[in-house]
Amino acid sequence: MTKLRAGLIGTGTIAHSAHLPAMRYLRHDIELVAVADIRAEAAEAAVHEYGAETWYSDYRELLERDDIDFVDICTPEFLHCEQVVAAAKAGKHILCEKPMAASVAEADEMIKAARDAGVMLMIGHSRRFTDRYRNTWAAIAEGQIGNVQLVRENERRPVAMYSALDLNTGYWTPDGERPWIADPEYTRGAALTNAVHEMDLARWFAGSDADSVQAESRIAGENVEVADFLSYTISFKNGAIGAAEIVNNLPRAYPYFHMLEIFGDKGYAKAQDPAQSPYEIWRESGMSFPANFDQLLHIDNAYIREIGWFVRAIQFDAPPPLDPWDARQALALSLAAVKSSESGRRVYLSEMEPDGGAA
Amino acid sequence: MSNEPNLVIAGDNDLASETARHAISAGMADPVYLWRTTDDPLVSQAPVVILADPPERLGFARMALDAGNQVVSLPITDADQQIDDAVTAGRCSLVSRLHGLPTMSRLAADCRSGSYGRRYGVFAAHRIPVNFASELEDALFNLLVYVASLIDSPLVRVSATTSELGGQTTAAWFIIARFADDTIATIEVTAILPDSDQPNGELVVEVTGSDAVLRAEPERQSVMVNGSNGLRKFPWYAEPPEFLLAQALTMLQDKRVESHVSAMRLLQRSGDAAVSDQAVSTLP
Repeated sequence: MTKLRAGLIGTGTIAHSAHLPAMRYLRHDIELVAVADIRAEAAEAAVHEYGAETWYSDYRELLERDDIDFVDICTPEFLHCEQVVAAAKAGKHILCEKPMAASVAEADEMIKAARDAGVMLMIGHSRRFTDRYRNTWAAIAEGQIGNVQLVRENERRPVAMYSALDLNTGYWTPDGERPWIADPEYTRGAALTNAVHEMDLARWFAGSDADSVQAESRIAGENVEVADFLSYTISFKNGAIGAAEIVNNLPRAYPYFHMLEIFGDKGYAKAQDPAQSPYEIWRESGMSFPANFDQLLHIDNAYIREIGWFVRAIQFDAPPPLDPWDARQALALSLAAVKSSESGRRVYLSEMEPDGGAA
Repeated sequence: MSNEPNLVIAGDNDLASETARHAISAGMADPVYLWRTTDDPLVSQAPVVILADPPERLGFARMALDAGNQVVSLPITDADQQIDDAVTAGRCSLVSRLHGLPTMSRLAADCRSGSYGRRYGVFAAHRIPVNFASELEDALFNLLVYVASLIDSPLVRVSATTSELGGQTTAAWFIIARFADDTIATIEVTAILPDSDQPNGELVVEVTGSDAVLRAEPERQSVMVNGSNGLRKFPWYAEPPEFLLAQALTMLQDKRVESHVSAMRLLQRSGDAAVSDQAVSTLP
């Protein structure tokens, strides 16, 4: 099998915690050629640790190389459209982190650019590649719980979640202090950072597009300027309901927690933490779940499968394992939740279409 | 010793009788007048705890308020100006049957002490078996009142989504409520569990905050039997009268009118939000 040559753009948190380690694991299929980041220190760290040939501070220089087969874009969502379109024009296949973009119009532009250039575009909704969710989906697809009526997904993240990863490098800080992920100039908060996962999964499990969403959000943590708390109820077109409460910045010792409950007319499927945590430690100070976060997001091979299956699809000239349209619809849902929480009213997905739902 | 009752318990059902018996046995309030129907006179000026079945509660409350008594009642859902005024004036408050569960009583007490630090939100879900769908509204109203009792802040906005879940009648409520201090309550009540599940269903209430997360799942306290009938759970809740009565007596002293008003508004406006299919503001 031909080994593919890769370039990675954006050597921040998700690159160091997930994408670069996965590429190293997949070294028989992938050769990391170059990385790009506006932060020299972060890029150099990636070169040093993961063996890329070189690094660039301008991603366009990376795209100019004719020996790169695909790029893995790990930058914030407000950069995705520009970078994906440029990569498509440069003839590179593209794997891009979630959320797909900052707007639905941008997502459409990205899909069109990839189609026009004849390159593959896949958005990295990593949870679709874990056994936790694949087994759930398989149970639904086999009819074991009947017609899906309700998907409930609550997510909890402690304030210490990312510091616990002990990364070589962290989030990009445009002003030198505040990470972009907490800056309203660059992101819309929990709806796009966390809930886009839950919304993608809910849509997948419900087997339907959404009709409307009602949501409330707030800023809960200290020194945060974007909503880190979101509650929403989705009405799907097939009558199913999707609901979630997303809470970040919980006490340091609280475990990463994701409650998944799917009810059908013949039964239900549940995967709950910490009730089903694989490992607990009790001390004088209380209980902790040391393996919880890793088990859920990383050790479960999510990114290895995501990147590995993407590469296989290129090698076999097959469709991407996850159609970008699904990511586009999850993004539309997330943005609809933002709009609902800001306006205090039910928002219909037709309103999120670039043509205002006229089509 | 005076024969003047210290407490009036209203209702003609097992809960009212057992609570009256408990109040006397435990020395919490003795003598107690068990006021069975509104056809009987209200013979005391003592506080009235209304534990009657839902259709009878409004009648008891009106009579008691007309007579000048202080009132604590299980959820009253009828729109009524007299009740509205009494709640606002601190003469009437609403209690939930869930306050009768020891776990939920403890959670409410921990919330009153503010052990979570800065409060972020409250998530509350009560699932019951499909064949108990007729009790859906009662479960909803009790959960709404319970959640409101955890939040000492005025209700600002509420949205509600209902669903038949593939059936013919409403089988699910999804409510999102925003309070003045930015607390967001997410409330779900569904008749969605298999018929074979226990009637009490599954209840979870979680309060998130800067210093602690409080999570209560009372039905986890059960004996599990995996036998010829499959896996069955037999909960061993303590009997409700003790904790329910204690909560009612606490509320008679509790002057946090905001919480009681929020409970009433949540009951009233959730229905409005469901009918209009839009979020409803509760600000004047």
